[in-house]
Amino acid sequence: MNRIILPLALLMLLTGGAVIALSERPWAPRADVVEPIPFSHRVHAGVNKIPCQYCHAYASRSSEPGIPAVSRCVGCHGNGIAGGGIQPVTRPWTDDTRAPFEIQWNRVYTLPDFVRFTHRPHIHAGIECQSCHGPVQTMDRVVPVHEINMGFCIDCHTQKKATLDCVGCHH
Amino acid sequence: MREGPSISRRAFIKLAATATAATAIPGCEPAARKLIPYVVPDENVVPGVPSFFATTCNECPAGCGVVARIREGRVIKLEGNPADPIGQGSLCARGQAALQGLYNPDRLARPQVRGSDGALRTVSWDDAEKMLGDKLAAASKAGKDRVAFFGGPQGPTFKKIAISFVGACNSSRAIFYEAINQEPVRVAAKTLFGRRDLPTYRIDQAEVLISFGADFLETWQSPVELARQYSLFRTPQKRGGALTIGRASYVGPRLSMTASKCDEWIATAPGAQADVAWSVLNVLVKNGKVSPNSGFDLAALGKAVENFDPAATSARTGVPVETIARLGEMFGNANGALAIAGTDDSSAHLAAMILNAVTGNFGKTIMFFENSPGEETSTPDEVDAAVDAMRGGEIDVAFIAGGNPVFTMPPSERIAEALQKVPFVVWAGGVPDETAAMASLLLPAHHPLESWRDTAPRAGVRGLGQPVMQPVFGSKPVGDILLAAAAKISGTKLPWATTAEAVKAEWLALAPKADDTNPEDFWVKVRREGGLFEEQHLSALTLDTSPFKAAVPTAAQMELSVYVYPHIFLYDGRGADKPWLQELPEPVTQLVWDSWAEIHPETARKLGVDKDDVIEIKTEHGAIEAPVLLESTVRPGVIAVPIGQGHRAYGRYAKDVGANAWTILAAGATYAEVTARATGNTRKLVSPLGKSDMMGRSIVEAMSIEQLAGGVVPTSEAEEVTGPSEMYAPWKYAGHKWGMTIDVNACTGCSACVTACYAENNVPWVGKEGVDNGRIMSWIRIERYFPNEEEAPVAPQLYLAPMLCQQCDHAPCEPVCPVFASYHTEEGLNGQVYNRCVGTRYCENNCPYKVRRFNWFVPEWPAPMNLQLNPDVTVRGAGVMEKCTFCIQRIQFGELNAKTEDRQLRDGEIVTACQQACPTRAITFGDSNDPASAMMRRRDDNKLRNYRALEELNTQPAITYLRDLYREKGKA
Amino acid sequence: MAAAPKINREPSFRDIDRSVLRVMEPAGRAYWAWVGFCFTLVGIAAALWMRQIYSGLGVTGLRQPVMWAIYITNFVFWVGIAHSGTLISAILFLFRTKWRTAVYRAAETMTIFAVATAGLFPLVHLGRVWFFYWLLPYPNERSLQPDFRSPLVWDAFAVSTYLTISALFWTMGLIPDIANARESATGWRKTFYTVLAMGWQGTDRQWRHYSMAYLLMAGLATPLVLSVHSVVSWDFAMAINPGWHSTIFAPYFVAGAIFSGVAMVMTLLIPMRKLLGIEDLLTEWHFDNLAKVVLLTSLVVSYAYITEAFMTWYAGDPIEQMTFHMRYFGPWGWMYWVMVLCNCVIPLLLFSPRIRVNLRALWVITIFVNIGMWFERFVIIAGSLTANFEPSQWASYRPSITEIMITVGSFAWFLGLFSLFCRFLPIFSMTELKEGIVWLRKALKMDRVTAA
Repeated sequence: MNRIILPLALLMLLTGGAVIALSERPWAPRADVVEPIPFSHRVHAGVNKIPCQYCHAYASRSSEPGIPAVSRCVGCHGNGIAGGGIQPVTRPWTDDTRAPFEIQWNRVYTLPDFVRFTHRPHIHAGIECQSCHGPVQTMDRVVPVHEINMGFCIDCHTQKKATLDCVGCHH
Repeated sequence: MREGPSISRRAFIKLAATATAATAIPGCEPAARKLIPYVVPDENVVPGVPSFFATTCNECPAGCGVVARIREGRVIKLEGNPADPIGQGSLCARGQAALQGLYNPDRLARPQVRGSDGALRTVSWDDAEKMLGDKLAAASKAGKDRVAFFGGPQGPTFKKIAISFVGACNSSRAIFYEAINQEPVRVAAKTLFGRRDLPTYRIDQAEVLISFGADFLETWQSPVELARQYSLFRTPQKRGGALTIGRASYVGPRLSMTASKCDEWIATAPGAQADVAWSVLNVLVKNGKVSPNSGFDLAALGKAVENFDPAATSARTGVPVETIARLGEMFGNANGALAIAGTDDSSAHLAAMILNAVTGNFGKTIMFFENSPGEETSTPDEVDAAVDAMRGGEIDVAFIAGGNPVFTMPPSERIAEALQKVPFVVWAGGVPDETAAMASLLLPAHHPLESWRDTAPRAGVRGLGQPVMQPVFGSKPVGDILLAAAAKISGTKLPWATTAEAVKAEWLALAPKADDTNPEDFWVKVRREGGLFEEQHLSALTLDTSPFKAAVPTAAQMELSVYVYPHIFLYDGRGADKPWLQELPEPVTQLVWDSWAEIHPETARKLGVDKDDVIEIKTEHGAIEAPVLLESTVRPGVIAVPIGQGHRAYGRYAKDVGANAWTILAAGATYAEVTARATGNTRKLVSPLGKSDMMGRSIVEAMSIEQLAGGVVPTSEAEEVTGPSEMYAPWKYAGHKWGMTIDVNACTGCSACVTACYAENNVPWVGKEGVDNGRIMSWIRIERYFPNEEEAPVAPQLYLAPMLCQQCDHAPCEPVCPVFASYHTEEGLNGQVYNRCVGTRYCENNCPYKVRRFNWFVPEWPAPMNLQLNPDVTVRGAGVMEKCTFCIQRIQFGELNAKTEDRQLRDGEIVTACQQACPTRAITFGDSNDPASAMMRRRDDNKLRNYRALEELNTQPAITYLRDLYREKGKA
Repeated sequence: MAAAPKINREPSFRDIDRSVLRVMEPAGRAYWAWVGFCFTLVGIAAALWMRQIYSGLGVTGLRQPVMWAIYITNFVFWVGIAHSGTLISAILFLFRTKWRTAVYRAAETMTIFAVATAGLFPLVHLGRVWFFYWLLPYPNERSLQPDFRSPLVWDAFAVSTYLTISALFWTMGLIPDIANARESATGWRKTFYTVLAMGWQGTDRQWRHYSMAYLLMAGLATPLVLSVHSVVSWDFAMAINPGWHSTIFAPYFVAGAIFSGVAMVMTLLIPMRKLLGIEDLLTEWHFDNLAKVVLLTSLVVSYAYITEAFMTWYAGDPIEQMTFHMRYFGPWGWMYWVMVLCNCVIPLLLFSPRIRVNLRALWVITIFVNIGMWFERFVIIAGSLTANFEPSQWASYRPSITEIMITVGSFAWFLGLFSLFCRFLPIFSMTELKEGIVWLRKALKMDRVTAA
């Protein structure tokens, strides 16, 4: 008897586990993204102590933190405040009449469309960016520290006595 | 990104700026993985935060002001502009649906040229404009007046542009054509006062209103404004010591939505309204109710109306003598009365105006203002002349922009034939329509929401329309096309190069002349407010009594006649390409996606036809076929057919739906004598409605104004409903407890709320078959019930009321959901968590109001309609139940604002989409925990009228309705 | 298969063994054709279900306001069928009813397969079946649990429990017989039975434990007979809809379930008895008893119908009355009267002892009963929904081909499984037949008497 059943059960367990382990949710944070520009958060946020919201300027006003406009980069790098030879490259970007050109940053963090996360109240409540995004100021390439799933949100909301009403995020 | 190449680069970047473009199935499609920053950030755009631009609505001549809500560079919702005196912050269903004109997938994306074989070939703008230029040059050289511009009115500035265009082409033929125009009113005004401008009405200033066939709540002149006035007119108030509501009578062939909201519907044959109107005047004259200072010579007037002795009129029209007498009595004695006419013959309008004049109501309920704007549309004669010229081969190039003459023009104009005679027809517009099918060059034109324009609906009101988003397709503003072309041919310098310039120049000219005001500040101000709104001044009227030397002739009688009226949502046909409007049930018939022949059962028996039989309706001008709708909402001997369907082109949603009622009418007519016969075919008329009989259930309730005045509570409320001893403790609401008060008496059934809900909440449409299969998705619907035999004597003519989720405290839907997808929120809403729903559909089974909607299929928004989707609302996938949650996204937004600004939420800060749209302010939303909130006050101020739908079920709804009011029969 | 050797003398243990085991010999073409046919239909149904999952429930005829119709009707129908099994095997066992010995294995088997069939329908009916497990409580990081107030959750528990218990009961009962079959079987069947027999030797010790365990299991299974269908009935009774919201549903549904269940047992056994040539194990005496049960429950059900109507009239709620008016005289009135004919009128024939032993008649009658019971569920479920609180939302319903084929498929699935079972596992409990051989002999005598 056991000679048949035990291996069978074991096999099923393994396959099941493998399926769960290998199936990745489309919106799970990605550790493997490579950005088009080797931008270093460590240098900016860590070494030079630039506050997060200097570049992610909308975080306190909107659901989206916002990706800094190229003009924001040029603001420093174009004016000798910071080094780096990106002046020549910036011109075509700022010129609408030239051929389309975008920097296509790759998302590290995404949420499914049925979750309405807004940065604004979290910033207002004084939540550290790092508490969700990890110590980005130490990262050259941003990698997710937490898996941002519902459990993660719920835990924090429970500790902080924030709302647990479903429609707060799902509507 | 899925948004295709048809979007300009900046728009593309804007769209891309936030990555969560709503996707079809929650969780089944990965969110966009790219983040594309601006090059230079746009101050107006904070990704994730809506920005608002004031502009004007262009769906009908009323010219309401609108505010466009923009997210990431795409307009997602239109709402009324509170600063605008006409709409005053409301917007009708047609206005809401303008978005689907903007994002219509069938819009022309690139210029097209029709080859000799009739096939269309896409060409570049340069080629198209070159071709246009050459043709125009040739034509203008060939001689005078060989170029014609033919288009719908687009405001004073555009008019100037068009005129200077034809001028540059050595021509003077600029025709501005509106199928539904106010010519009869102008003629009447001309006859009586020697002026052709339109009067402005103040129903709210009247005590008595008689409408001779004017559907002023639907399509007549300025529906939103008049509906608002009418609701004030019908609000119970002390008049002459007694609590009462305005008395309204409707004279016409059909119980239209407007008629149903009046006290009585006096059924006459179409065209007989004038007869009745004159007869009422006759009564006034007889009773000497003519105010001495009205300037009328009583004797002459008596002579003029001698043919209209009530008895005689009664004999001709079948309207009882006493009814006419009562109307005259009522009208004469009222302190402030208003008579309006909506018929095609100016006779009725004239009679109505005289009625107002003799009772001294000019300047009170109806008024002419100083310097009212010039006429938008050309006179019928001018139009005829132009069409004749075309037919006569006197025109080489016809530039057609709007109006869709081939569809809307009466057969007598023979417009198709005329256009064939024109060697080169240029068509500029959005969705290619019947007229485009006859053009040799098709140019994609900007939607009004994409272009600069202005409106001048009446004295003192100038609306400024600014583009609210980047062009969706590769189109250009018609004005720019014209100006460019004109500049090419004529050496003469034109005042402006583009429409934008033109509009700005025109408006700077309007700036107050005081030298301390900087024109640029003025320009900013008018763009912020959406126009320039000033004091109006009454103009002195000089009465011309000469027309009344001779007796007024009486109209001919008809055996069987067809009455053709503009569909409340499709208007003259321009609404037919918008699925929201196609799927919106016509309030009285509750029919969708079709045209129909409304016949009285009696007449049907005579004709030997039955429900859904397709009949042929034949007049001397033409014939159409439509399925029969058996209702006693139309006078015997009359077949009522709505205008708007029957397109042979005009995009996938309009094509081959119903029949075009324009084709059986004489020029400017709304009725004709007909012969009708059954074709033998049948076609099912589709409606989401089940039973029309409420069976005495308390869904829509009404009470008589007499009961209200007497403080009598209707019997249905008499036995006190004592709640059973509850098993569970009642809910406690620490913060807010959202609720709604809906005044059924104010609700006209116009369905603006329904469309607003579609737009705000990403509610999909399902098409004719879908509706027939019971899959309509609307979260809010207009309940329409006919009073049954025993109700009829003590009921309004029609029960009309919005039905939406009642957000019950004892919600039957909540405990039955096995997974908490349907649950009670902390603020008293019946929340619905779409991504948690597994689709057992138990909640809808258990919902007594049947207001939950199930996604039977994956909803589809053909690109670019998906750009209209509201990013704050999840797009539901197949197998999920969805419902109204009082616009939870708006509540969240409002609460977050208050929270992050460390303040209390203000009453009225959160406005639901339906409430926002409602022209009569029938819906009030607010916090039940705050007794001072407008919503609660409205309840308390109308205690006697409070009722809750199906209250005996003890579901404890958060919505309290206020009973409809009617006048006890025989007292109307 | 060899013609059944007619037992002239009173049957011995050997006779029982022989005739039961003979059934389990390799089957012929006709048999496989039949099984193949059944599973082809199942395949079609499965394909249609896949399509439904892919493109949404729009492929069904469901609509506002009829959110539940044929799928749920089938669910209730099959759960009902499942009832008689446990009733016969457990309750009648506890009451030591003699005639049960011959029929209980078949009945129990039917139960298992019926529940298996019923269990599919809640899944088929779900809008997003891939999340069905959300109805079960399991630890998760979202700290979300099902809503235990929802009758659907009760269902999930009731049905799964019922399936587990009756499956255990069934397998237990099989062990000695399979061991018995093991002895005579050859080839792969031998290994097959060896595995299933779980090393049963038939020692006294095993027998002692076995009978004690069996008794306990019977005790355990008994309450389920009542609980399962009560819970199912609460899916409706707990809702506020007119036509659903009623306190008599639990007993009413249980009676109906036993009614249809026993009828189905007879519908299956009568042809089986012929085809497998086991007249002398399954005698008219047995059917006579089964028929009595059918008759009794039929009367109970009829009583329920009358009570329902009376309560509605007496309570005087106009909305409820309108719904019942629609049920009796509305567009679907004919269904109600078909149901009354099949469930209340036709079974009255069973008062006649001659009909009770006339197998042909019995077969027809029981089929009518099953039709009637299906309609009863349909009338209650879909019918009530069409006449709801909101007249503007009244509408009729027409099943789509998908729903019809899936329903057909469910019958094929049930019959197919059952057919397989008859051939590969002992369809009669030899053990118990032997225990009750005295009674069997009596039965056969009586049989000859009535035959003569």
